[in-house]
Amino acid sequence: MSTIRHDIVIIGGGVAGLRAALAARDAGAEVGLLSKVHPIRSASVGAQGGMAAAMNNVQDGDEWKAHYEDTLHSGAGLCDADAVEVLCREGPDAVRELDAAGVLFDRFDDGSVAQRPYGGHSKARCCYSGDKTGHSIVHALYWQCVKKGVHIYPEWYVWELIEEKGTVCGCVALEIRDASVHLVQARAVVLATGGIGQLFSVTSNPFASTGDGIGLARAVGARLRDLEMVQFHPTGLYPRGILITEACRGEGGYLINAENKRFMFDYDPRGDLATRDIVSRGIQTEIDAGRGIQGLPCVGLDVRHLGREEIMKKIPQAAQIAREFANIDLATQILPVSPTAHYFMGGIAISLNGEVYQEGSSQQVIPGLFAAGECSCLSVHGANRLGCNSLLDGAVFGKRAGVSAAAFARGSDQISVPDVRTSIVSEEMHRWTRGTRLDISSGQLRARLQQGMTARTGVFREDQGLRKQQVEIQEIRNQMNSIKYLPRKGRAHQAIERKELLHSLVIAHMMVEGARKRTKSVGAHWRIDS
Amino acid sequence: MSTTITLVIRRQKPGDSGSFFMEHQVEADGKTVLDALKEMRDTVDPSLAFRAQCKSGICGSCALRVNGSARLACSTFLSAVQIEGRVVLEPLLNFAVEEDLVVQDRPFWKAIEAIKPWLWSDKGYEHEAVVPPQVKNGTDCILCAACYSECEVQAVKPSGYTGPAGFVQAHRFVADKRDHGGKERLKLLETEGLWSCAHSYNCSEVCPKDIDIGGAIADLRSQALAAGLGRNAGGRHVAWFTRGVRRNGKMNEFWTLAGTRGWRIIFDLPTGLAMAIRGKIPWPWGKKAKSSREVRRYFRSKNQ
Repeated sequence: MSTIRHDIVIIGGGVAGLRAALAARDAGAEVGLLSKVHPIRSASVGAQGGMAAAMNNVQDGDEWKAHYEDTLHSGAGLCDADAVEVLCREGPDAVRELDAAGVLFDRFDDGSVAQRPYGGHSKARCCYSGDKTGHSIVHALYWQCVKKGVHIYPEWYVWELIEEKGTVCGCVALEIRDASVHLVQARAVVLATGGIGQLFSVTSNPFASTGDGIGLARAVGARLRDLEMVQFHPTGLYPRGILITEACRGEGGYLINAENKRFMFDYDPRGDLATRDIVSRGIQTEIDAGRGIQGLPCVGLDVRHLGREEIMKKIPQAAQIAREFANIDLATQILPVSPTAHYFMGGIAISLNGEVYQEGSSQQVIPGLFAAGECSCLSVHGANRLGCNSLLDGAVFGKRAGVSAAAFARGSDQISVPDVRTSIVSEEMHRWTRGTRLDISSGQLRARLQQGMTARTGVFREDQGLRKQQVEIQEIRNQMNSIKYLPRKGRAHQAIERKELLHSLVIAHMMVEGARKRTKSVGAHWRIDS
Repeated sequence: MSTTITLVIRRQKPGDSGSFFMEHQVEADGKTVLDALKEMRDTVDPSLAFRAQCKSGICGSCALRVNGSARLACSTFLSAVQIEGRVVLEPLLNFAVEEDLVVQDRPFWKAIEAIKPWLWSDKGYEHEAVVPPQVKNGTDCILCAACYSECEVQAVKPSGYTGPAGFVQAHRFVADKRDHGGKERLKLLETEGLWSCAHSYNCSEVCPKDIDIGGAIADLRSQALAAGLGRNAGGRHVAWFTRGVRRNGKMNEFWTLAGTRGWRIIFDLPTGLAMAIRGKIPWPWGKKAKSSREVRRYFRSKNQ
């Protein structure tokens, strides 16, 4: 057990967390970044397609206003217009900053950052690094943080936030390696813990996307919003749900059904490049109508006409995933795809500067607590996020959260925290590891939660199913006391899996509740009984 | 029809130096190594320790040794790697084991940090910075450490050796037009073991992203020579080796050694004499290769 002190503590090491860390560091703060996986392993590395910004490098008359309109349109009326304006206005600078930090964006021959069309965008404004844009950004930001002296704690798990006199002033964290418990004190804490894909059985998200930060914020009385808003990406590789980038369609690929028909034009005049909610519903409707390819619950993604050379140049990672996970050659074969849980539009309610609102309020903030990226909700994405807007969100609002956290820290004294919580947390973990040993594991309970969520809270929803899922969630919660443990000194993953499941159950419960309450279909939330 | 395979997992308790094997039967059809590990943890032994994240082969968390060679657990299918119905899973080599399949990766990150893998530039955003395509290859690296595990030089634990992944990172920055590191970077690489690589090409072989790591190291070396660096045994070895090939169409063992060792060759005299007596040393002024003319033409065409 030890006590660690930093001006600012960032929880999460994806694009939003790293960008916040860098911004706070540049503002002169002393920063610690805690991440339950090494930052280089963050979910952000899976972001493939790109980052939208109205740079107008294609000279198609793009400007922030057009980006703004597209984003609002895609969000189906649920976006916060002021937030979208900030996002779109600051987009081009965010790209330039990342480029200067070392990100290798693809370039046009004249040297400007290359931009391509993307689903739901009226102009070609997607800046990209092949189909590994997130990977490229995370690597550059991570090493910039190392260079600039951000203290990085890889594989540290935050157990709870510490609140003293209504101000968040640190956290209790677990070093995963040996399950040791530490008190981490800070003048300000930034949550950047990412999404909740692991609530679903078919997801493009990594194992870490369990919604921890949202659960942590909730525990200190933060306001959560739009929790029923989950984006299902149309093209997850069947049956694993691995993300196949939208760039495949951006570059000219299209979807076909069992009758070899390009069906998307039946659903939307933009066809395969309609927004993700529409394409996912189109695919799901085809599947439900029995028109899935090869009699399976999936449709075909066809990029064969691009030719091998173009495929290897523009979407090499998609080609590698197809080859490795489905034994399919994109240049000659059709790829089976189906919708996969991809992005959480809802989350911790924040202000334009990343301050976290108190429950039931849109003015009162929780002093000392900030949030950015997928775990937060402004809302810039409304009911349906536009492709390429999530990396942008992480970069723009990650930076803003870092800057305002640093400003907050400058103006506040370090509240010293009596070290009572570390021993309580240790005791709690200890109790768990001695728990009654019945035959169920955290993993099995999570699988049960995931299957129910995918079946009943998926692309299409109806009240009956949602009600059933509420009961299911309660049953899973009741079973948590029977989770089995093998007491063993060493890594803390058993305790962490259980804690993650607790967070996921809290969010799932509220998500289903929200989905039941919102009886009208909007964006990604589609009620077939409305 | 389903196939059952035997999963053999090398396990090690934290703090212990000894390991033991655990065997378990799993249905192999359509399953990856990671699927099997996850199933083991969820249904058999929740204490089983391994790293995994994206399950898509892009985050680099889950590298381990499968039947002896380093791979990503998430993109390796059991049916493709099983040998006589068995799949043996072990932690990466060249690392201390933390627990079961988890290795202590801190030295790996530190070794890469040593080459300063960030853009050396204070210019900010440059509009015209077209980046040559060869940089791209290196940016595919997911830092999974498979190469580090298979590296023969790493196996002897030299100090100041960044390792294959470090060179890949460096190669990408040396080729990056926005970076002003230039010769300084190459100098730094010399202190980080640029000339220590023994070109076994094991790294290129196991790289799950098919990066030509060995090629990147070779390229860094020629750039170092071109920049007037390589004033050491490694650099001289390359120079004399090439000289022999250019002149005679084949390498000359004697002059390559003599050139590399310089005056220090007097220390090799006893061994050399013993070898010469047994006819193990080729004549220093030996015949040219039949194709030596062609080779010379080739060198001329490459302007070397």
